[in-house]
Amino acid sequence: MTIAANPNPEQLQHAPGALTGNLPRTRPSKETLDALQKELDELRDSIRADLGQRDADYIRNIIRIQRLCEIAGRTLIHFSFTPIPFLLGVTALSVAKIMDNMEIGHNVMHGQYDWMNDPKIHSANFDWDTACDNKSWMRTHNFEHHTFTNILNKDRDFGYAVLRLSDDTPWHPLRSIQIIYFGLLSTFFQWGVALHELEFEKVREGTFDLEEKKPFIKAMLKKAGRQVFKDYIFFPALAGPFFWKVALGNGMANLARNLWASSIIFCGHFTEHTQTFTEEECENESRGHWYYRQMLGSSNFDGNRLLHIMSGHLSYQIEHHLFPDIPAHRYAEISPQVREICERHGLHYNTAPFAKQYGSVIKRVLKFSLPSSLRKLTA
Amino acid sequence: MESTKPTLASLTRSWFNLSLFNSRRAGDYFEYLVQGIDPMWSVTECRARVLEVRDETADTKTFVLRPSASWKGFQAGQHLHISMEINGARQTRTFTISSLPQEWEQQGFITLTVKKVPDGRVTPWMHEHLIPGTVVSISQASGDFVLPTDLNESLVFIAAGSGITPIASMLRSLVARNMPVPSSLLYFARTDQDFIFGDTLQGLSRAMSRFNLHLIAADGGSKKKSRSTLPQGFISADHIRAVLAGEPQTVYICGPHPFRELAKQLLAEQGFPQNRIREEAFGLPPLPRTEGAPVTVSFSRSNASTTTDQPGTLLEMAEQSGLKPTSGCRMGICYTCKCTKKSGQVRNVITGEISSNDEEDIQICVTTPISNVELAI
Repeated sequence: MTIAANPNPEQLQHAPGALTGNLPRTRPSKETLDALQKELDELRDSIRADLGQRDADYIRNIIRIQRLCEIAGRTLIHFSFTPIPFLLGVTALSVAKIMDNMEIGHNVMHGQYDWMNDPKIHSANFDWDTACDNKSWMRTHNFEHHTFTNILNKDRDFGYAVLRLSDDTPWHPLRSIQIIYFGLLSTFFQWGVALHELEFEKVREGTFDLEEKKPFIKAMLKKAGRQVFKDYIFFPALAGPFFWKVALGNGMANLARNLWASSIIFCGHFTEHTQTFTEEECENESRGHWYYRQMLGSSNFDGNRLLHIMSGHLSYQIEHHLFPDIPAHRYAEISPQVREICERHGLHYNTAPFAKQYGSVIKRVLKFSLPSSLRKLTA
Repeated sequence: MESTKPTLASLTRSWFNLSLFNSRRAGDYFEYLVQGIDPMWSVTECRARVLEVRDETADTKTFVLRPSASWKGFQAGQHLHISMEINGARQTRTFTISSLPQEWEQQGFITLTVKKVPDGRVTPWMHEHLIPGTVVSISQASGDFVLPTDLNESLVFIAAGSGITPIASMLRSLVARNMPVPSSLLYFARTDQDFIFGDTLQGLSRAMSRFNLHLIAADGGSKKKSRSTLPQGFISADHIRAVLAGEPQTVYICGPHPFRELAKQLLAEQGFPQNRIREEAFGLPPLPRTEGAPVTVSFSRSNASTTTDQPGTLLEMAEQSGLKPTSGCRMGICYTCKCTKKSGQVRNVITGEISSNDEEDIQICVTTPISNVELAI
């Protein structure tokens, strides 16, 4: 990767275009953006008009399966005396936690099922099996991340303020071992997400305001306390002398969920060719440009139906970012149309098998461990 | 209703439930599982199965329901909320129970009599799709539009259109008790064909000499059927004078808002004391259009807002802005739509009460903004 000496004036000249791994991209014409807006709005409206019994039945079935997995998992962990049933229990509980967080929690909290008018799965009430407070999640994820997707310095999900994924972030010697942070973030993902709103990076910058963060900290501790109580006090205590076995099983399930959820989420925006944007570029942007940014800032991965369900259909990250409040199980059926629109307007529809996308995330994390100067030498 | 003070026990319970089930009610966690086994089962609400559907008039049907064991019964004149799933979306409406408490006690069924609202979202669906075998959710019965506990003087009932349902239930209940006090019914409908329970009521009046029935059709009707000596047409002082002659203990009024207002005005003109009138609200009163400066309602959690100089209810405004807040009865009864108003003043369209400017919980289905309002939706 080198900096073009004399970039085409039509090409974006801001540094990330050349340095972050952004594909060369030309400023989209107003006609293109208007067409995108019209075509994607129409697609969204057609799906919304079609929502009904099928979607209600789908999410309720998913919830039933999730409940059965959780009950089976906790029962097996509790009553197992040999490794095989114990590991089966851990697997079932991991699956339950993943389904709760991804296909149910994430999607319900996006308001995908609000139209069902069922308080049990309405975004205003829903809570999930993870350390992150639901209201904090809705502020940082639904609002910040989904509005300012991949705008550098505005979308704090881009690198989670822990990873340097573009040369726009200044390099520091501690960045050279960021693959370790990456491993830690994956391992403790639920806690990373829970603490996200704290904006800990502001401590570094010296702009941290404890007073302002107090309500968040209070809510976060309350929620985290309940999660710790459930997995590491209540259910272990039920097992009496087998306290540590149950605590271990629950911890393993939490770990499995953390690794899985982080991998899925990293594949959505940190793959090699997901594009970043500058604030100037997005000033007063039209809805068409917002769609354009969502398409280029997200990446999909392919797989079978089970993989899609277990990823909460975030395997269709592009479709999800275009239509965050459409029930996620619909993304599969609209993806051919989205891809067609993308390709007709000459935009890159970023998709590849899961392993390949995850590999490219690792590649990006390693690549930006080094400052651009050093990279050129090694290139 | 919802504002009972939390006790230590209830706070502890909800903390445990939040910890273990991520919901204040443990039942929410198990509800779909249980329903997957048998739709009549529920850990959070009462269910009822439709046993039979009968035609009453061209646009009115009676639904016979068998409530699940957790349903606690009712008094004649009370109503309940019924929730149905219409193409995946839950819709709730309120109807009077038109059957007798004795029928529920002895045979385990209740009936709801539902007039089809043209272009309505729910009643046309009920008429077409609520067939025997369907399972719905019902609330416990509620309402104070019931017979007095000590019956010693005569009663007068004034009903219009489908407002007959609670009154028919009370009358049948009186008949079942052998009509302990004389009673009169003024029942107004558009034509002779629109008297819901017309035949039943005529049967009752033939059987009970102490029950005076006046069926009054707005289009003039046929005297033969109505058996009323009173003039046909719209409600007037003649009707009121005739029924007040028996010096009733209480007057019950049920019908559309303008009808009730008119009836109350006529009663006042005849000197009947206000505190002996009982009325049942059916639907919201029309919103008076306040001319003037436009108001802005902002929905803080959704980053949406809407500005208009002719505001409807906050629920309607939220829905028109593309939001989907939970809602139920849409008439201020069930509190499903309750949400936090961060700031601004609202008027309750039923009571006319004007709120403070402060943060408080309000029911958005029955409130309309009178200043700029911020809602936590």
